[in-house]
Amino acid sequence: MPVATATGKDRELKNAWSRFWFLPADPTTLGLMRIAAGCVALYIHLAYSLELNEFFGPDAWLSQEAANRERLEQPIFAPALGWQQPPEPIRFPQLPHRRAAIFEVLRRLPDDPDARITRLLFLSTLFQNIGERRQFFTDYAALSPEQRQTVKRQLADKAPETLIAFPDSFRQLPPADAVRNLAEADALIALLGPQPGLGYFLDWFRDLDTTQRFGALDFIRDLPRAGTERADLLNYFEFWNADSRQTYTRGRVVFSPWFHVKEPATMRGIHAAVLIVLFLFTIGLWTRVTSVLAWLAVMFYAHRAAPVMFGLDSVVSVVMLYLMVGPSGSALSVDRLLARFRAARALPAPWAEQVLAGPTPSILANITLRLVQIHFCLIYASTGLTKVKGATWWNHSAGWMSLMNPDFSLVHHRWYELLLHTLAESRLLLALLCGSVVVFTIVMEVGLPILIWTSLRPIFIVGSILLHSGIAFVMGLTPFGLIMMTMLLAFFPASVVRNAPDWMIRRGKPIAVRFNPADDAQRRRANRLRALDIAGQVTLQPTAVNSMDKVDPWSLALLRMLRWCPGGRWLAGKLMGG
Amino acid sequence: MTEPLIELRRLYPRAGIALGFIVVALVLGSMRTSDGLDGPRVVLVALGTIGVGSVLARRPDLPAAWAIAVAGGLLGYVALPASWDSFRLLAGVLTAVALVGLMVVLLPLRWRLRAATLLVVLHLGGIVTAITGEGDQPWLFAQMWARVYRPYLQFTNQNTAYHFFAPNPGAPSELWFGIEYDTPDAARRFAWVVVPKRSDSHDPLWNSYYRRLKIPEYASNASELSNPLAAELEEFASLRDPPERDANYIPHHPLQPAARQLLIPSPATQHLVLPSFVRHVALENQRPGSPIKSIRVYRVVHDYIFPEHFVGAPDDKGKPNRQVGPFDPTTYLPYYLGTFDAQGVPRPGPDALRWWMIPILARPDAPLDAVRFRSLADSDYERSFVDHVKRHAGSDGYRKGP
Repeated sequence: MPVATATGKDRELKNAWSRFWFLPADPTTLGLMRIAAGCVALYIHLAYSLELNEFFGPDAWLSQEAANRERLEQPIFAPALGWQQPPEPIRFPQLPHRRAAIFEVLRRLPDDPDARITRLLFLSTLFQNIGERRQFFTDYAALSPEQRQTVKRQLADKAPETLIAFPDSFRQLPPADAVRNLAEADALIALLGPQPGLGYFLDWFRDLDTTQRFGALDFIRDLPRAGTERADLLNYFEFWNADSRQTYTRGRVVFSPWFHVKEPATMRGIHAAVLIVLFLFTIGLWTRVTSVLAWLAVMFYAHRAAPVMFGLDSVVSVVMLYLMVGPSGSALSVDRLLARFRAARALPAPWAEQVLAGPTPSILANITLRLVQIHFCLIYASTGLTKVKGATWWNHSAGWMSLMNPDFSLVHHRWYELLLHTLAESRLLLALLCGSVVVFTIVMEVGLPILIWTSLRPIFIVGSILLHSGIAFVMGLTPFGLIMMTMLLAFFPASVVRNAPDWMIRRGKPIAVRFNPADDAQRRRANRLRALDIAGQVTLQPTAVNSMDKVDPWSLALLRMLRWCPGGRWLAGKLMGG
Repeated sequence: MTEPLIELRRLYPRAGIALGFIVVALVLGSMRTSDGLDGPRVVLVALGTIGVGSVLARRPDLPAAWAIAVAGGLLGYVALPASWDSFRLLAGVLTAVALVGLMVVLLPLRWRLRAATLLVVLHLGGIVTAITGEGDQPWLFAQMWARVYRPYLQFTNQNTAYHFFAPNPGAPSELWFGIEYDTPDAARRFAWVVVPKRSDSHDPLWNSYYRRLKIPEYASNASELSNPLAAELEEFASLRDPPERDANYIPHHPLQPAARQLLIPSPATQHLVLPSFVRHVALENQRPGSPIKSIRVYRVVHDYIFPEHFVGAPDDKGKPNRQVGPFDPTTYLPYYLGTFDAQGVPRPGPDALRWWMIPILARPDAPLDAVRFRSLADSDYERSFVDHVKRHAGSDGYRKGP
């Protein structure tokens, strides 16, 4: 029987997996998330309108030229696949003038790798006794070529007096060896050039440890033979501090028209198109297409202007991605309304009744909602668990740092600063406040990813709303709070969202409408009324008497929402067929 | 039961028109004199791709619709001008997505669900890889990030670890640009540009202010407290503290640890980020008839204050201390990043204080109630604080905060 039990468990697990991911779900929650996320995205992008050039233009904070260079050249490394580690990158000076001088020397290296080493041979002699030989070498390099010839002759002749002082260790060498060493010194001087480059190079080589020195010689020897290739490698190294041969790849996988467009008029045109797309997405018109375009639009901005992007943009990108994948336009959208109109026209076709009954549950809606839920939990777990590693969260000072953050919190308001000052007068009160802030944050962020899957879900939903409202109020991160709460909507049962119009109906009344089905015009208007009746308020009564003209548009839940919108009255009239 | 779907044959004309747009872009690109036609080509490809997308949106259940999308993506890739390389990347990815969609649609339902499972697992694997991407990343996840997930995570802007205010809330940063103009008018000779400033925000929810708050962080994101070579340290020290000190000598910060007083930006920050920032500031702050002579840049850590300093808690002898407000000048720890011209080119040669902290200190007789510092007049400021940044930049006034 163990086999049968195992198979049963397998099936149970498989079924649980299928139920979790593939049970068709009502897309109404996704529709509400679309409206909320669309509003946030629209706000963010509207706010860009006055800063288009400052953030995304050719002369933005990160200029187009710099952004393109970063996009195409940024080094990407991958760890070694085996145990063998790649050679440690060679350390070069950080001071620009020293760094530039050394790279100038490297650019002058001959094509032939053996010739490069020959030019550097004297370094080994020099570093046998760098203390006394460095001064000699520096003095020797300062001589003219003719003077150096004289010095060589004096050394070969063992002359008692020479132009410069030779170190003792040098004088003890056989004359032939000493002259050969000086020939090597000439080669090194020819390569290093005059001071101060020569000195910077020697300093650099001296300051490397033994392993790094050998590494530097290997680096020099292994530089490409071809001049252009070598120059590219050195230029890249000097700029990015990375050996392009050790990188896994280069550049970031990003796209945006702001990497290419320069003309202000074109920029404004693209931005206007983006705002239109985001608006259409928010109201849910042609959502299958506009959701993709809206996601692309969000990427355009996020990819181009890395220096001004923050947590808000990461979360907006996530939400827009999921709303693009899922059928977010299947409910609470203009698309849905249009489908209802088409269905009303097609009545009494069976499919039309089905469409008017409500959005069709879909597997994709469930997959999307599950992905949002899991992603939300991952965000919380990541930030919560990382906080647990931080000393300031353990000793509760993170609470003070959050409340007193000079650039984030409300402390730029006089009243807030004075309130904090009053609180801080009492150490106990402040400790209680900061402790509460920290404990609540940690409990929410660490506890929610697990406990939201239990019967405690309502408590954690309320807690999460409180957390993000607090962050929005105290730290001013309102759009961030709103987009996190949009993700949180994925945990709301669809029935809660679907029945939300009920509260509107309670304030209105059930509507009984009499119409003559034999009259085409009346029948069409009655069907239109059914299409607009998203809350099931209307009861159609086919009789000879017509009461269609007595229907108050504002008694319908859908139209009531338009009442305070600009042009809402006109639109309501049109929808009613007036 | 759902609304009857549109028939494929009715979609063919739309698909034809959409593909036609892309083909026209292709033809324009193949013309000998296609200079100046890059823009129209991109617009045509964009319209064509949207058209193809709308066809697919109507019948995502049909392999033919996905095949049209694959064709559209491939044509778009070829039709886009080389100068729009990032859009070629986009076209390539859209083609790949359409190809995967085509393969999934061809599968029976049971296998489609298996494919969906695979895609979900792959996607969530990527998110976990990104989340573990900061700090000590496990070797396996580091491999997965670099060799598998990086393109996907970057493309979808999900390459983030969500470490909001974690492991510890970091002190915010600012950038101060001291602009010197070439003008005989002493009143217009110097200007400070502080980033971010709340007054620069244009929207009611301060979103643009929070975006600007990230700008200094980008200059410091790329910074690293590197380990200078011995000769460099000697040079740093000799430039910073010359043997003969004149009246212009700026002391070290007496209260900050020595290791915190030198911060060397990474080469990418030095070569890419700072010159770009300086060029932008120069362009935004031009004054007619007064060309910019130089711009001094300071990256400023706006340090937190402890509650006991905030309330001016008395010392162990019961003597009251000065109250330090959140915008007290001494809470700013500025690092000098160099002097640049209006083109963002750093002033050549050694620069004595580059990358060193320039202190702003309270005078011993500074007023005890510094919470009111924001209403300080210039003269009171001078009486209360020693602002070496102001002296170093050659400015007459101080920066008003916040």
